[in-house]
Amino acid sequence: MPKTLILSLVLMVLSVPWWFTGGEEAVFLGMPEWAVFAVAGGIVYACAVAWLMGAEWRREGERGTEEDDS
Amino acid sequence: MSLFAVAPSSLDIVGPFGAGFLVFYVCSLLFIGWLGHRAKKESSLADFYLGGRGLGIFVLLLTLYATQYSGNTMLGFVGKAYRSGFYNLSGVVAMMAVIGGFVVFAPKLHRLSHRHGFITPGDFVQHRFGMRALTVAVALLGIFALGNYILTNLKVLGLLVENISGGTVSFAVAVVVLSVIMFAYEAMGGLRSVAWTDVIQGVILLVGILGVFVALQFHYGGLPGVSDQLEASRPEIWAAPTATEKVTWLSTLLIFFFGISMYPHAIQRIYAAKSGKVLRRSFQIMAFMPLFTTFLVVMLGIMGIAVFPGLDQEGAGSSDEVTLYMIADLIEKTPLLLPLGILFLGAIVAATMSTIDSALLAMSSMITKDIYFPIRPDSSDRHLTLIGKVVSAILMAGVAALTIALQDLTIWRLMEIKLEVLCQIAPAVMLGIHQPRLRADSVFAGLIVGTVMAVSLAFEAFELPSKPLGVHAGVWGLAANLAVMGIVQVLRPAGLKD
Repeated sequence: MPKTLILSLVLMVLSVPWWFTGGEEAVFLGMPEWAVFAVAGGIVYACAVAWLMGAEWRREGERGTEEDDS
Repeated sequence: MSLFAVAPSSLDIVGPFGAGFLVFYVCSLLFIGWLGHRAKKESSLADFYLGGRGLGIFVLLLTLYATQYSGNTMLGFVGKAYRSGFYNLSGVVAMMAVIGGFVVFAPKLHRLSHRHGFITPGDFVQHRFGMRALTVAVALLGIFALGNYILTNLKVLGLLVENISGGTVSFAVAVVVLSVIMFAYEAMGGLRSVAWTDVIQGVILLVGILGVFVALQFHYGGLPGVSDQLEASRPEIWAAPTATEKVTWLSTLLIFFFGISMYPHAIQRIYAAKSGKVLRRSFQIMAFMPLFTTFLVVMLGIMGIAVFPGLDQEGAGSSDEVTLYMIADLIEKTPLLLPLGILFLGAIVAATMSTIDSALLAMSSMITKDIYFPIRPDSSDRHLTLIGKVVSAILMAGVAALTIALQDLTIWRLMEIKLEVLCQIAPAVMLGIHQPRLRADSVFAGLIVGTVMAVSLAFEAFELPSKPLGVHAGVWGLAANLAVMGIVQVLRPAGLKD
């Protein structure tokens, strides 16, 4: 199982606001705290995906070069 | 100041100026289609269906963007946000999860596609597993999903044009005329024309959404400006999701991750990228686009709760049209915003058209390459391209006729099942590309069981709800798919022939 798939799935699971139960008032930009967490989680996930995309491409480039050499 | 407004009885908000803009926009698409035809380098499948594998970062990014966001984003998502409130923010991460799905297979698939000349997703499956039945099954699932996608988007397009023209242009006329135009520019230049029109459509989409969001900030004071009205009309939307809702939230992320990343027209854009660097950068930017699109349309829907409370009650208008009500309200209160409103409505039309044309092209390629070509393997590229155009014409005519004929039927539930079946392709692509020991028979068995399970659950065939325990039918299907695949892989001796 590729590590990228597992890492991406784990981050996705963490972006869900599991730990929030109440929060029935606006705390930031008119949103309740669990919604702020969801948006912040999304931003973190997007950063991680962008980083993973770069890392995976570098690895793939190295693999491709090795295959070409062999 | 009270922000409450009443849903307008007529949505004839574009007027002659707006109608002129939309006609100009549609004509410009035909011109771009002709330019795409002029830029043709050869009569080959790669040139027609993949733009000669030469899409640079600007075109690739905007075609990915315009294709990923459809009319459903602009109308359906906003309506859902109106009904579910902040819960619909799950859609923001879900759209990011689509790019997360691409990370798993796009880098290697891009390299393989350039090396082996893939045209369709089925080409990769055939190359990797060498099992025609599996390739055809993958193609059929893709064709089914894309057919549904085109039908639902064509319906959105027809209703939208009928609504914003105040009924001057009927649903049927809108569907027929726009279908002919989409077929015309696609047949002229294939993916090159489609991608170039996507550039215009993507720019209109982004500018329209950002412009309307800024106008909403000034006009209503943004979300903080409407929070009192929100609390008064829908206090329940502030509560954190229940345990089941959180499970459904995760299930939504999973179905987008495994389903939307399998859309054949999206996979073909991986093949069409000029280089790995161009594709990587496009995807890296795309990961953040939900913040500038999905997030803003969810905010639009939530603000709609404050401005148009009580929609969906008798005689109060439909929540699926809240986008149009908000635009009409903005223009009525500030007539100077008319051009922006027209641009936004143009953006909805553009988003819908760009999704339909891309799906149509991908469908045509799969029928031609994955189904027709194996029957007539001696066909030349020129002949296959011609067949592809004929297939596109038949498909477009058939889908337009179906859209008009089925517009009032509840059969639309059937049409909504696309991600449920597309998810079932994911193991063949995501695992198949990385696991050399994965065999065709195990993938095929998993795909069949997963698809049957997903469709059965979606139709509540086992007297279970369509989302047992809050999990989508497609995710249950995918679990069954993986389980069967694993069992067959372990138990069936590898030496046996398929």
